[in-house]
Amino acid sequence: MVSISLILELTKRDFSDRFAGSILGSVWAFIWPLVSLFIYIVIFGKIMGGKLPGTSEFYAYSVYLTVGLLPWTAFSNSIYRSTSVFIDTKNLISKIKLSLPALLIYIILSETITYVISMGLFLIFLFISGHQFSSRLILLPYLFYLQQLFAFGFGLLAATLTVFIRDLKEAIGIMLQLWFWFTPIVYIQDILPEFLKKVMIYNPAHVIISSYRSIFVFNDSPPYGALIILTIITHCIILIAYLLFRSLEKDVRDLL
Amino acid sequence: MIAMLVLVLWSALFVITCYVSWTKLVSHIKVYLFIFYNAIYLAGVFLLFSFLKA
Repeated sequence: MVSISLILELTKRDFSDRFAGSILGSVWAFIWPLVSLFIYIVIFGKIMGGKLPGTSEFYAYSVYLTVGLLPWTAFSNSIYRSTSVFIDTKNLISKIKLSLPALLIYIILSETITYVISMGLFLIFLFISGHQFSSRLILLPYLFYLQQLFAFGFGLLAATLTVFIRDLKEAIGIMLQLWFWFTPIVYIQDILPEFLKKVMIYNPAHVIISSYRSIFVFNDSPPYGALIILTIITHCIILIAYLLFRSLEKDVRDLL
Repeated sequence: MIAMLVLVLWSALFVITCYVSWTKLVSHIKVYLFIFYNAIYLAGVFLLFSFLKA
């Protein structure tokens, strides 16, 4: 079994390895999100003059874009990195007897740290710019928890299958690219054709991101019904992924 | 304020239930139970919030 201390150590190492050897070290963990926020807010919002229809707020499109891109980055990175986690950590797996699904947790945690830093800086910006916060902001950690649970379930399914089909990692990368453009993250849903708008309710990323936008941009209730359905679907995916992993665990360990 | 209090109580109930079942059970049943509890907890949060804010 894997211990909590091992997961935390792997998370710490994963996070510090990114900036190992650099002079500024973990300061880069703040520089990267700051630059990203600068691009979303200043470049897209001010210089390119992005406007959100129906709102007069100056930074409305920047907020719209940022609350879509920050969760999506954490979500897609969690899935993509989870896909090859068993292969990437095969040296560790062969040395220590540990629970393989728990290995995905350190990736989820590492992406969560990056998200928390970015979202923290974004909230500071909103506070300084006089943004009106909704009391529904309390739902923010739950939305993030749900999206990362979905990423965990999907990631476990992909990680198990990638041991047998190595091409799957590249296929998942392409799928995530298509998924990104299929979800209204950088554009608004209204520009989509009618048939795509109807299909959009089946897109889990859209349910999550539209919930973030309801809280941050539109000061409205998120689609609670859709979130409850997504919660059930997410747990069904986790259950299926875990059952598949259990049935293939011996082969996975042998192949690694 | 009421929403916060209900969320805290609901979360405490979830943590206690998970802790008890995780420490008492030894087989893989505890993983399935945890998935089940987690689904109930998260669906409950959204359901409670929709009622409290309605």
